[in-house]
Amino acid sequence: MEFSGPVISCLGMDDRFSMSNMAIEAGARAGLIAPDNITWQYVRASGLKRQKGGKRPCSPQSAACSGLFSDPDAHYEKVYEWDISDVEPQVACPHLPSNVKPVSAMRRVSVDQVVIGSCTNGRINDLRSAARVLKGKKAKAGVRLIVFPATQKIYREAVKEGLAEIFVKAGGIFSTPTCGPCLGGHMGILAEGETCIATTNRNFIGRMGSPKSFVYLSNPAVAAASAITGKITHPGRF
Amino acid sequence: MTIKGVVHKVGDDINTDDIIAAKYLVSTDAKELGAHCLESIMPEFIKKVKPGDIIVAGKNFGCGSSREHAPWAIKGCGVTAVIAKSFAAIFFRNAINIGLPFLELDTIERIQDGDVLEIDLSSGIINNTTRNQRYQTQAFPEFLQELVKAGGLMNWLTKKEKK
Repeated sequence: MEFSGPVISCLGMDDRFSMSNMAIEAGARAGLIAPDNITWQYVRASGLKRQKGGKRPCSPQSAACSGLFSDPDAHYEKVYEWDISDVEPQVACPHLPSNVKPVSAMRRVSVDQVVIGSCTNGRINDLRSAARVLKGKKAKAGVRLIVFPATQKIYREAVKEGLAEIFVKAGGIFSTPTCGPCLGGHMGILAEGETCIATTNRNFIGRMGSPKSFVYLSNPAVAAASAITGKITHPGRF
Repeated sequence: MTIKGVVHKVGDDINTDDIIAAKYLVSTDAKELGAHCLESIMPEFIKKVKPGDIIVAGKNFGCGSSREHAPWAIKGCGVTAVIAKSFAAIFFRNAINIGLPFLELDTIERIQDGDVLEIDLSSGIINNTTRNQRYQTQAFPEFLQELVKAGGLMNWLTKKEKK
């Protein structure tokens, strides 16, 4: 599955990773996005050095890098096009990631737990987006707020930037990177009848604990706003 | 290579959390995992399933996490083949690697719970002996049949190494 277009080319790498990660949930083996200057900047910042005499590996014209792009005459099984100018944040309802509804239709859903992070939405931009909403606010009494970055490097960045402080001050816990809550492994395992909104990738029956619990999936800003109100909430309110 | 067994029908979008819940991932023993196969959505399945049986599913079987425990659990409870309208790509490959044959078939509606099927992997012909019906699916490539016979990719490699 390949993503392209004017919106994709504006997205930072963190958002692109989230999309590629979720492509699996759509049945793909991988979610591809052709490399561009944003990719190249990311590669450079991550400390990888260009090979001696190598060219910038982001130009479709460069022979060395042609393998990184789809062929100009590639045949796609299906091509979908969406105008997302008026699309509000979407929430995946139990018990399938594809069971999506706009966040404004979810106002009545109360949550017992909010999980922000994971491999899917646990990069520094995701944590910043959640922290912008939660700064100076408190999670609603009775709502468990769990934040965990995707990697140790992001963990350290979040501490340095003061994001960890914001989450803890909001009444949340800020954990080391882990798969724990996402698959009901440990930390925040849902009891029967409980509801969680999570920025993880899957909301199947029993995914986060009891087969009689409910998991909604959203982006980090929606999850953060929902922690404050205790109900699934559009982050535009804060 | 022929497989004969009784059908257990399941629905669409059976994900790997349904097949084996995360709380059982502490084990890698196929038998132990098999004892909890499909437990959270079909608790009666594990009581009914017998060695040699066949699972017949709808679309997108095995979606979700690519945990290898899921095909292990299916194999561990005695199931010898899965027929589905479609499979999730990463799960499909895991199943082949552990030597569990998966076959795609469009007309699964014609097969009912409890039917007896005879699958000939070499020709891709499935005989429904209960209903006197015959379905044609893709022939299982010879190399993949070898993997199934060997009990999976790792066993196949080990045997090859010894020769």
